[in-house]
Amino acid sequence: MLTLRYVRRRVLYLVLTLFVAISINFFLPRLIPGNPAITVLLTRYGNHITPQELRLVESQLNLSGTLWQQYVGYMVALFHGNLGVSFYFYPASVSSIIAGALPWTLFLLGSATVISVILGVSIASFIGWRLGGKTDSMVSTISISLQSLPVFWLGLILQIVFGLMVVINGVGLFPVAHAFSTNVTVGPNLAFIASVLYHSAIPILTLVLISFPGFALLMRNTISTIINEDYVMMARAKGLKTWRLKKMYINKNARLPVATSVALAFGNIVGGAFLIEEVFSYKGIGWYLYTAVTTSDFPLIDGIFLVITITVVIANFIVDLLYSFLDPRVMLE
Amino acid sequence: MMPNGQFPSGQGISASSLKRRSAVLEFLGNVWSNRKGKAGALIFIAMILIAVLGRIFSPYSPYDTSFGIYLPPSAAHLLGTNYVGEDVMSEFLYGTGVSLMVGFIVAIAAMAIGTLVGITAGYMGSVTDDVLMRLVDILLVIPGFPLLVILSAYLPPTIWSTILILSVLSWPFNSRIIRSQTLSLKRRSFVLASRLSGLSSFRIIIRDLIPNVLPIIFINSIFIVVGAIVAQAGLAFFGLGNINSINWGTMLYWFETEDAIIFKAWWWLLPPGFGIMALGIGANLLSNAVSETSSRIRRY
Amino acid sequence: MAGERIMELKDISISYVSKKEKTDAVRNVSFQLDKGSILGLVGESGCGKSTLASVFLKLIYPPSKLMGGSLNYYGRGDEEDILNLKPPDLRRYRWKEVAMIFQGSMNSLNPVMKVEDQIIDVMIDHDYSYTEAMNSVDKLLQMAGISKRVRSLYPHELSGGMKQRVNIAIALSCEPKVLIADEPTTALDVVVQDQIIKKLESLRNELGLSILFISHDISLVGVIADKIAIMYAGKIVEIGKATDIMNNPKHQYTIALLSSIPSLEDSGKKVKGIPGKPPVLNREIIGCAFADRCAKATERCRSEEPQLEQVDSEHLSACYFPG
Repeated sequence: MLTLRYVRRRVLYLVLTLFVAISINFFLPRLIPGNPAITVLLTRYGNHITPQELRLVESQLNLSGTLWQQYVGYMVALFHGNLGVSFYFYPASVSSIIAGALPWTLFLLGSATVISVILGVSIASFIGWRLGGKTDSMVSTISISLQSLPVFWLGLILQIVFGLMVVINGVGLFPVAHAFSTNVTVGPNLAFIASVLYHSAIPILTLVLISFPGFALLMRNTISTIINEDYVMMARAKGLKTWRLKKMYINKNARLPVATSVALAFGNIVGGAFLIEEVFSYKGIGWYLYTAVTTSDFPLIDGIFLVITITVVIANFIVDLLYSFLDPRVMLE
Repeated sequence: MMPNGQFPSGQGISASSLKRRSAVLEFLGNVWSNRKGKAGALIFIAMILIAVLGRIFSPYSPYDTSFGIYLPPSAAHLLGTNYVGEDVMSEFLYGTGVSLMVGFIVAIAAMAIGTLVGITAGYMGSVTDDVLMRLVDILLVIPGFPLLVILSAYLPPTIWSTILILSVLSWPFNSRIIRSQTLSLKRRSFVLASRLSGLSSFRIIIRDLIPNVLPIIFINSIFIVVGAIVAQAGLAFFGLGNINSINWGTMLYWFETEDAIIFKAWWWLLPPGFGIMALGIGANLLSNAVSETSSRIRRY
Repeated sequence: MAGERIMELKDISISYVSKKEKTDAVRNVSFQLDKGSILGLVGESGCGKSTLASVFLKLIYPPSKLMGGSLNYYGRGDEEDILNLKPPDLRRYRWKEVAMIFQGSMNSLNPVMKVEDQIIDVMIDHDYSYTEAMNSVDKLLQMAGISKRVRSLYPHELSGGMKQRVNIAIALSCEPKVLIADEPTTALDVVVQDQIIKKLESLRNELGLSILFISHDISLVGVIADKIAIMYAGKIVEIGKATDIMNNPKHQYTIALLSSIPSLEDSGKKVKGIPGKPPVLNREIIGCAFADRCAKATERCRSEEPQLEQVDSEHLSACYFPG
C-alpha cells in the first residue's frame, strides 16, 4: 500500500526537520552575544586561561574561523558522531553519555506511549457505546482532570504516596528513585530486569496517567461523530452482530485520528518523561539534560536536544508509514 | 441562528464594526448561556480575580521569612509555611498573578503572530505560503519541551525570556486556522471586490475573517494560556528562567530542590498543582461549550 | 388491481426531539406497499420522506423519536409487528427481509473495508456460510451491473455511480423481499441515473422485489412507479396509481409539482417553481399545510385540515379543490 511518492515526501520532511534542528544547534550559541559556553569556561577557570588554551577550546567547540568554516567543521564532526565533550562530566564525551542514557529514556517513553494508547483506546471503545450516560461523563471528567495536571506535580504526589505513605516494614511499596537498585549486577539477569521493572513502575504510571486521557478523549469524541456517519447507519440497517458493528465499523474508523495523534503526542510525552526523570532521579537523557542545565554544560544540552529531536522525528516517520496500513485512503492526498 | 437587530441601526457605528462587535458579543453570549461554558468562564474569572487582587489580600509579604519552617496549615498560616518560613498562602496568591500573566501574554502574542503569519501566507500564496507552512509543520514536529529548554538555556534567566520563548513557539496552530480561512475568503472576495470598488479584497478578508475564526481561535487561545503556564512551570522546575520569581512553577522547583518531600509538606505542593488543574478543567469546559454552541467549529 | 400487501404502515408519527423544541417530521402516515410492486414516494426535501424511510428498518435513533403508529410485515406469512420486535429478532429482520439503499449512499460504505468484505459480513451475520458468501460476491456485483473486479477495492477507489451499484449489490446480498431506495440516483449524472432506474425495474421483474422508491423528482418516479404517494409537510396528501397521479392529479400541491416539470413537448411554456417555502414543523399547523402557497386557498383551507378522501378508485386526496 506504500507508494514511492508518499515515502519520498515523508523522507523529505524528515531531512528538512533534522536540518532545522541542526541549524538551531549551530546558530543558537553563535547568535547570542557573548557565547555562553565560552563565558562558562572563562568563569570556571578564572583568568588563568592562556590565549592558546582559549583558542584550543574555541576550535574544540568549532568557534574558530569564518562562519562557513565553523559550519563545515560542525557538520563533519556531526557526521562522525562527535558531539563534543561535556563540561561537567569531563572528560566524558557527549555522545557516550547520551548513548548510555538514551535506552533508559526510550524504555520509559516507549512503554508509557504503548500503554497509554492501548488504555485510551480500550476505555474509549468501552464508553463510546454508552455516550451521554453516567459512565461517560464520569470517565470524561476524570480524564480531563488528569490531563490538566502538570506531569512533574503528579510525579511528586505519587512519590509521596508510594514512597512515603504506603509503607510496608518501613519501606515504601514502590521504589521512587533511580532506575534500579544498587545491589543487582547490571546485565541480562533476572534480578536486574526485575529491579528495572520495579523501579520503572511509578514513573511509567505517572506518564500513563497524564497521557492516556488525551487518546481516550480523542477517540471518544471521534466515536460521537462517527456514530452519525452514513456508513454506521447503514451498518445498523444491515442487522450486523453488535460486536462486528463496533469493531469493524466504529472502532476501526475511530482509531484513525488516534493513530495520527500518536506522533504528535509522542513529542509531548518526551517533555513529560524528561521532567519525570528529574523527579525520580531516573538517569535517562532527561536527567542528564536537567543536570546539564543546572551546571551550564552547553555541549551536553546541545547534544541531547539534537538526539531527542532525531529520535522524535524518526518515530514520527515510522508512525506515518504505519498509518498508511490503517487507512487505505492516505495515499490519495 | 443569528439574532437579528440586536443593535438599532444608525447610531453612528459603521456597518462593518457593528457586524464585528455583534459577532463577538453573540459568540460570548452563546458560550455564557451554555452550562459548561458558564462554569469554565467562572473558573477563569475566579483565577483572574485571585491574580489581580491576590497581592492586596495576601496575609503577609511572600518574602517574609520570619516564621517557623515547614509549619503545617493553621489559622495564622492557612496553607502553612515553606522551607525558609515563608507563608505559602501569600506565595500562592502572589505567584498566581505571575503565572497568569505569563499565560495571557503568551496567548495574546501567539494570536498576533499566528494571525500575521496566517494572513500573510494565505493572502500572498505561492512561495511565501509554502515556506511559512513548512516552517509551521517543522515547528509542530520538533519536540516542544527540549526546544524550550535549549532556548531558555542560552537566553538570560528572566521571566521575560521565558515569555518570549513561549510566544515564539505557540503560534503555529493559530496561523494554520487563519491561513485556511484567508484562502477561502480570498476566493470569494475577489469576485466581490471587482464589484465593490474602493473596498480592497484585503480589507474584506480582514473584516470577514473575525466572525469565522472566532470560536476556534478563542478555544485555542484558552489552551495556549494553560499550556504556557504549564510549560513555564516545567521550565522553572528544570531550573530555567528566573527561579527567584514567585510563581507556580518556582514554588514546585523549590519544593523539589529543597527535598521538601521528606517533610511531606503537602500544603506547599498542592496549591500550584490545583491551580493549574483548575485552569485546565476550565479550558476544557469552555472548549466543550464552544463546540456545542458553535456550528462553525465543525469545519476544522 | 389491488395487490397483495407486504407491508402496512398505520398512523406513523416521528418527531425530532431536542431540549428546546419538537419537530414533527412525519405526522400520522398510513399506506401499504404491495408485493412485487414499486411505490413511489415524492416530496420536496425536508418533507419527511427520509425520516419515514427509516421506519421500515426501525432505524429511529435520537434525536428522532417514534411518537406512535405501527408497521406490519407480511413477508414471512403471518402478520408481524416490526416496531415491537425484540433486538435479536429485529437484527435478523433487518436486511434479510427489508434492505435499503441510503440517500447518502456516497458515504454509506465503510471507508476502511474492502467492497467484498462489506458484502460478506452482512451475509455471514444472516446465517450464510463463509464460502457461500464468498462465492456470491461476483454474482451480486454482476447483478448490480458492475465489474467483479471492484470486489477487492476500497470505496475511495470507486466513482459515485460505482458506489451506488455496490450499495445495490449489498442490498441484494441477503435476498430481501422489500427494498427501500431513498433517493438512489441523486448526485449521479443522468446516464447513470437512467441505468440505475432500469436496474431497479429489472430487479423487481426478475426477483419479485417490492420497492419503495423515494425521490424529490416526480417525473422520475412517474417513469418507474406503479403507485405514487405525495408527501407534504410530514403527511401523505395524495396517493394513487401512477397513471392517475401523473395524468389526473387531484391535490393542488401535486398539480403544482407536476406543472414545475420542464416538458420537452411544449418547451415554449415557462416552467414555474412553487412559490414560497414549506411550513416549519416545530409548531402545530392549523388547516391545510399547503394553504400559504396555494393559489386557490380559502378561509376553510386555513382553519380546517382536509383529510385523505377517496376521489376515484384507489385514489385518495386531501384537498378541498379536487382537480
